Amino acid sequence: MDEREAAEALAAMQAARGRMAGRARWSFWRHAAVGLLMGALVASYALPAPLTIAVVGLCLLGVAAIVARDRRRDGFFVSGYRRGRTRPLTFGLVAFLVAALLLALISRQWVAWAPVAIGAVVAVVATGASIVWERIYQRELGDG
Amino acid sequence: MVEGLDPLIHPPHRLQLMALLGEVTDMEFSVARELLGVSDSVLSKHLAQLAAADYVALRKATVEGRQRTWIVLTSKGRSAFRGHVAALQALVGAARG
Repeated sequence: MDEREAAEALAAMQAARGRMAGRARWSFWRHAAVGLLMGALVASYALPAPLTIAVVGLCLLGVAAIVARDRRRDGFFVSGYRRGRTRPLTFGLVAFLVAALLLALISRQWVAWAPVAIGAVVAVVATGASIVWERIYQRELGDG
Repeated sequence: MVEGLDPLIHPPHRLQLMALLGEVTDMEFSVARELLGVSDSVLSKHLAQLAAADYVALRKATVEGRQRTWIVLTSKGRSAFRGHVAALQALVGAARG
């Protein structure tokens, strides 16, 4: 193999990634579903313990449903924890979620509905983060 | 074969397939076929070679009543792919630089 063939192989590989980028698009409602699940998780701390556990269980089922829907609709699944340029955003969002959960846990001792307000903020932030995540992913596929 | 290049990944469609699988958790057979622009039999042959080397894993799953094949890049395949691409880039870089 010479340098021309190597360059052609890399270009063909990048073209395949570019075609993939064209398919890696999700609707606003799919992003919003992720945000709502994360928000509901935090808001559930406003409820009595048995109900909190029930909501957490429903959120887990919701995540499973989103994964199944992605596979059914797209024919592939992309984990949020994948390596690459999206990872810092994923870890940042997880850190934000953990901080929000702790804040909800502490604040409910003084204001019972505080977890709901914090959950609403988490839902908006997580929806926005999911949209940004998609854009970073597409750009990464396009750039190589 | 140039040092660092993996003859198993060398064929263009296999290299492209590995590149696609490296960007997802798993991919359904028909989607891979469409993205590569190859026939069922061509993709099946490539997958058989890659699976024999433990570069990809195949699993069957029923979706909406139809059995489908899902392809996953293994850690061994990911490592081999990275090495191959690095060798290609080195080859291009050496020629330019």
